[in-house]
Amino acid sequence: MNGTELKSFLWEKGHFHNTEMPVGIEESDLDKITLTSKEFATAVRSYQDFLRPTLDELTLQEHGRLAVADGDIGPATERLFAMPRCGFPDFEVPGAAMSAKQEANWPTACRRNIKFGLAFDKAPGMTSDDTLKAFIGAINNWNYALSDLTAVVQRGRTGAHIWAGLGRLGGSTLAWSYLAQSNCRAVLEQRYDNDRTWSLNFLSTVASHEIGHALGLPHNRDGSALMYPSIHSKSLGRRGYPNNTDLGQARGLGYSLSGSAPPSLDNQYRPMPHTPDEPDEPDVPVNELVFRGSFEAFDGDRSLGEFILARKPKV
Amino acid sequence: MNRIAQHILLGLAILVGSIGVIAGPPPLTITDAGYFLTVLDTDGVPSLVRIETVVDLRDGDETPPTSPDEPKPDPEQPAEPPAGISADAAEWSASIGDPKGAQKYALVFETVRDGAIDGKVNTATVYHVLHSAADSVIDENWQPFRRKLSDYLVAKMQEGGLSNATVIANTLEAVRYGLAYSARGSESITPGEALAVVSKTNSIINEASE
Repeated sequence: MNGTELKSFLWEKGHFHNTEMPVGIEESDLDKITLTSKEFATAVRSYQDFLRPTLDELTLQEHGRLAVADGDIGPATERLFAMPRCGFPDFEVPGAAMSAKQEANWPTACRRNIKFGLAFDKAPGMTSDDTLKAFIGAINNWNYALSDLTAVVQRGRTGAHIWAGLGRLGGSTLAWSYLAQSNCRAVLEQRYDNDRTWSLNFLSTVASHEIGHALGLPHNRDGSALMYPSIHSKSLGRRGYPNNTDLGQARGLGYSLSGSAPPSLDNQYRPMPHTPDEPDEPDVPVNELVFRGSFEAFDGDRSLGEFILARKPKV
Repeated sequence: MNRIAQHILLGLAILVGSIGVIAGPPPLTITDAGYFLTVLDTDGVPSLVRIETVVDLRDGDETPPTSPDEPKPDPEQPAEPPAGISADAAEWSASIGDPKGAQKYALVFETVRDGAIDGKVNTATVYHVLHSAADSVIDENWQPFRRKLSDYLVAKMQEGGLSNATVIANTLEAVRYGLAYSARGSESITPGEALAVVSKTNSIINEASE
């Protein structure tokens, strides 16, 4: 990567377009922006600022303190720029195909019949069946969360409103998606990195994020949210189910929230239609719960690793 | 039917017609390298024939062929063979055998070049800035390169050849190009690694200009 590519990286992620840190340059000016200029330093600071939760975590690991988004580059920022992330821009980039208009959603007329097309057989490291299940799980997250949405997954892209392909995305990019366009006839593309080993929960969580874009949600700065630009243990622990920040964004776009609990593990990967679960009340004492799978547990600030909460098997 | 589809079907017709042994549609094989048709010659010996484009003409909900991998975005590759000091820099760099270091060192030259353009680096500071940044970014194996480049820059300075910002920037760009050329085709450094080099070099430029 050379200086031109570094500037392009920041440009494509929207960090020359942070309205709180205006630099006032157009794409045609990019060649004239030097690596020693304040505009470049501002774009770096914008990146640090947007991904502040991750930068804080990395700075804590590296230096034992919280981060300052000052544009200076130390080991924590170096790691921040290497974090696996979504290729969708953090700020709207005028004229960029992926960005479109950042207040768009699917019109009411078609929300009950959104078709998601899977245009590849299997993701690297996964079986064909599990790949399909990952996308069903991702679609189910949004079907459960939004009462006015009914989306289904199909093999192939014929007739699909949103379709996903594989591609070598390069660098730290996991996937990208086009944003909703307020048009029932829109066909939105997504790409998932072909140069990476995927697994069921990993792909399903990343796909939930990308489908969030396809429903109109841009990135947010909540480090626990599904729509945060980088993948993290909290959204993996929820198997990609949106959190309150994500749901607030969806409501702001005009979607109706169901108030439903996330799909149970049994229903997560089962195609709709099925009746969403009632909120899950544990029927065993807490001290009889056992752990397996993936969510992150903490002892104070110390991570104990990733688990899924499961009921104690009945014998 | 669009022109590409016509070409494909015409190609297939010629292929099928010339072989004349295939029963049913020839199997399509998709690999990282592209699309291939399995064809049989008159002796029944199979071979793979590459085709450039596949247009899915089927109707219904059948799964279309998986696209071959999209090409991985490569780092911007220097296209023109270097000349003059660029060629020397490329040759010296290639003999070190450290393409990642070459990319980082090229970024040092790119940043210092930008510093010259911005008026932050001048004849009095350029040598010190390059020296300090190189100490931070590349390892001992680059000493032979640095000695040869140092001889070149000192001679150029003594001739009055680094007398203004434009000449400094052009010289640094020539060395940068040679370094980048020597690293072409190698695995790219990450955005984080690149940013660390730029940041370190910027700090040294700022210290030197105070």
